Amino acid sequence: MRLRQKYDKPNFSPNNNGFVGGLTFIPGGLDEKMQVEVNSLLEKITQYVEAGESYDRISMLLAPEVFSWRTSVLNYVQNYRKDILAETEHPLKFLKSIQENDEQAAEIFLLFERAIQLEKDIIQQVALNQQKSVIDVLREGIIENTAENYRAYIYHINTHYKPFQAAFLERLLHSSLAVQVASHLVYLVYKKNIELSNDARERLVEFVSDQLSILLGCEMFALNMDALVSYRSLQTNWDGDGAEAPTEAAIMVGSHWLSEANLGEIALAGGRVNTFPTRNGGIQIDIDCLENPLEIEISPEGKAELLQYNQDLDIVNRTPLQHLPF
Amino acid sequence: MDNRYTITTADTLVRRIPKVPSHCKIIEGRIMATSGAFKTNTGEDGLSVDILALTTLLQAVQNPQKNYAGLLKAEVPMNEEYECLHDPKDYNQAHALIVGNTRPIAKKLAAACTVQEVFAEQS
Repeated sequence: MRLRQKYDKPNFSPNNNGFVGGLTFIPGGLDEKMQVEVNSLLEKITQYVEAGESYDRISMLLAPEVFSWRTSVLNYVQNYRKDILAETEHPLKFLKSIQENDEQAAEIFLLFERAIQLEKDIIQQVALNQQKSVIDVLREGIIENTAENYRAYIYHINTHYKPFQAAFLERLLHSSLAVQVASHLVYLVYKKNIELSNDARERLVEFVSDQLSILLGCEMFALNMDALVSYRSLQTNWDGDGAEAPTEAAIMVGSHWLSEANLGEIALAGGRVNTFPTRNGGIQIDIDCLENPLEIEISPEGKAELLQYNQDLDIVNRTPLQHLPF
Repeated sequence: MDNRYTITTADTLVRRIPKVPSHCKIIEGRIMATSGAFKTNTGEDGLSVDILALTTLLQAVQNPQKNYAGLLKAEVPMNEEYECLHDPKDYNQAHALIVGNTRPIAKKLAAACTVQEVFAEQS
């Protein structure tokens, strides 16, 4: 799995996944009335895009329609939740059902995934409608079942990583909600000493790990990208000892390798990634994994080298960087 | 007559570690400096440090708002066969050099360094 971040404004052309301009639709998940509203919305968006309107302007122009759409989706989700509750009745019963029936477990997981997807849609719609960032919407608690700890987390992200929130929001939002649901399940399993079949347990752990990996990777990416961008404002002699200001070439190459790295996997394995300016106008990325540390040295000209260390911190390999080993 | 101080393995050297932009990271709960803070630049004779026996932490960091003190036992570079030489300057009598290109041992120096906050009233 590779973490790739997008910096562009949302693309208004629908792709195969039904993603359009920040609106994600669930194939087969909409009733007829909602589908009509969606189609109407898409048509208008296309017209505005063809007329050369900006993303912000289109959002404003379509605010009334989006509000209507949001209300429909909210109703839909509320009904959907009722269905889920009716089907599972109680979390413990649900968990027991997982234990007894792996096939049913798969269905339930699917239901949760779809519910999470819908949550994401709602949040995006609310944000679009209110001209707010998705994180702001979450923070204000408009989505009632967004847990308190996630609000705190999102608030933290918003406070610290605002310049890049748009870049990783898509993944962050999905995974944070998924982790919320999945970690609650894991908590229940362990708290209540519920026996799961090996298969169900593996699937649960895999699900949580995947989502957590994305979440942590996004956080690490944002942290490092923010640092990189802040280096643009450094002046010569930033260390009081004659250091050169980092070059744009070094910053851009650093950004490239950060987006190539599988940061989620590193984070999940307990590793850390940190970015620093070097005194000669380059960039250094430290990758402290559980085993042997690595460094990426980027020269002021933008040439990247990978330094591999052994456990005694001797350099065992120094090569021009072409592919990351993680 | 040469008044230079002879650095021994028992000496402590002080390297300024910038606070902004941060040159520190937290690894397994410990604040560590990045190796980048211990790498010599092209054209430099060695890595600038201060000899703690000849100065104070406050003087060594120069500006405690901007720098941490990176405390390093002289035995660390010396055990790697790097010479540590007193190199007094008019503006800093405690100045010394870890002589040569320190890039190959920068990671070891960073790992052995203790990062310390210095307060204005600290001596």
